[in-house]
Amino acid sequence: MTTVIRQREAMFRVLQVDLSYFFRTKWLIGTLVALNISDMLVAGLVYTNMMSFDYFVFFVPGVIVAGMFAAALDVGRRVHLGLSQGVSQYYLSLPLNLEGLAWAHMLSAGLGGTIYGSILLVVALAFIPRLASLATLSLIPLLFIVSMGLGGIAAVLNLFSKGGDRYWVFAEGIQLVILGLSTVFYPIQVIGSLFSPDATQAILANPLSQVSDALRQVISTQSFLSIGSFGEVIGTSLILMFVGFICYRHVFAKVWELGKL
Amino acid sequence: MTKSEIAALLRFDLREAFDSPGWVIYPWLYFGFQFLIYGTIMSRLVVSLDNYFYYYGTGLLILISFNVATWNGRRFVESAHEGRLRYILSLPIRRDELFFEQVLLGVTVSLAHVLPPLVLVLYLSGLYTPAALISSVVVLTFITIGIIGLMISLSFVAFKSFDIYSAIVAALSALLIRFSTMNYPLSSMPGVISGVSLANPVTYGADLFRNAIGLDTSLLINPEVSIAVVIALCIATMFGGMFLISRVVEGVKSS
Repeated sequence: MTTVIRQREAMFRVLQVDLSYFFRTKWLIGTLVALNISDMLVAGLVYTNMMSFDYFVFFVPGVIVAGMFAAALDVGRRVHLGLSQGVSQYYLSLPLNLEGLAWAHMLSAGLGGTIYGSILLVVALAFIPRLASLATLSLIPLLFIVSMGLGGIAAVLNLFSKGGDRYWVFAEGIQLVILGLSTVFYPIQVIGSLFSPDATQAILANPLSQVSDALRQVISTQSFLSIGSFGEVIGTSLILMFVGFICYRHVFAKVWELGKL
Repeated sequence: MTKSEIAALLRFDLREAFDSPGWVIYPWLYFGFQFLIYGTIMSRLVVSLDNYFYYYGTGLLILISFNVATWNGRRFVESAHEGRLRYILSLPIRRDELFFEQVLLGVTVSLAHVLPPLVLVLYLSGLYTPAALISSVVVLTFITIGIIGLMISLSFVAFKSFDIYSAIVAALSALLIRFSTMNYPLSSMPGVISGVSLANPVTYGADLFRNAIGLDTSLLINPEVSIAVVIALCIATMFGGMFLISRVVEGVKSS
């Protein structure tokens, strides 16, 4: 029983450290939020002038989701730095098992994505008041689950980059592909006209597509996400979480055995 | 320091820059994905411009040059952080020559990253002529030099705090990109945004680049004005960079 409590305490500490790294530098977070706002207000408004529909309303949920994705992946960046700077090795010397360490990082990815996504959501309320509803509030737990799933992607990157500099290229590349092959920035109808039905289905199953479409549904109909859609998002995110957990566990097991990746 | 010694330093830096094949290929893959997926989809959504696909593609090329310039500035700062800069400064090298070598490095890397995608855009758009290729390369080189000068000039901030430098570079890059005609023409911008964009030299660089290719010339800023602004940017940032480097770089290490 005491061991379990110690494990939880140590896990909580790692989670706390991960989160405090992200939110410690307030002005840096302020800069990032300001950049996301400038994205909404500049790119969103200019593209609205160039398109036949209100792209701004379509684009704002996309920016929120892209910001959440970046925040969730940021935990992976710190794990990568931790692996090369010996922080992970230190964590493994704590009374914390491999599973606990993997979960701590996954949870901090979930919390980081949720907090950052929620900040952007609050900002977006100023531009799209229709977002202020209980239906939006009900999506917050979904942001958490999806961010944890996205944190799993960072774990896969850490595994394949073996803690080397390739991580940065992999991270940028995977971010580009996952965002590009989603409905974050463009509607599914246009994607459907370019890709095969199977590829279109895969793009719809992308958790980023699912969350941005859920936010758009709230804006257009003010309705809650159906249980089926909720289940779909959670299902995809759980798969990513599971894969991520296995990857982190494998990475930390290697570090435990060899002292490095 | 003689010319051959600058060449030796440049050769060393270039070997390091092109050490990994992934570093060379990645910008091409990045361009291919963004151009063929994002560009195609967005061009189907944009109704105010007939050939937004190529407009976007040319904007991407400028973005790649911009990214190389940012990388160059960051690399310079990191070399201070890692102690390499102090070693180089201990050599009998003039500070303006060091700055010149850094600019040459950035231009060479930028050309390696940009040339194949540029040829692809020219070929696909049917605008390929040797003159279009040469003039567009010249314009891209000038834009790169201007931005490299700016990024290296900012390195004096990094000698106080690397975090602040990173934030300033990220914010400045994002603002220079968004408030410019890199991705959308001036005619589609709301009043305030177009006002700010007109004060941004990247706007003139992007429009001059499209002028050099011969793309959408009716939407672009007068090329003579653009030439003047781009050259002024280059001269200002080159002199600014040389001035700052000769004064702040001695005995520093990035914190």
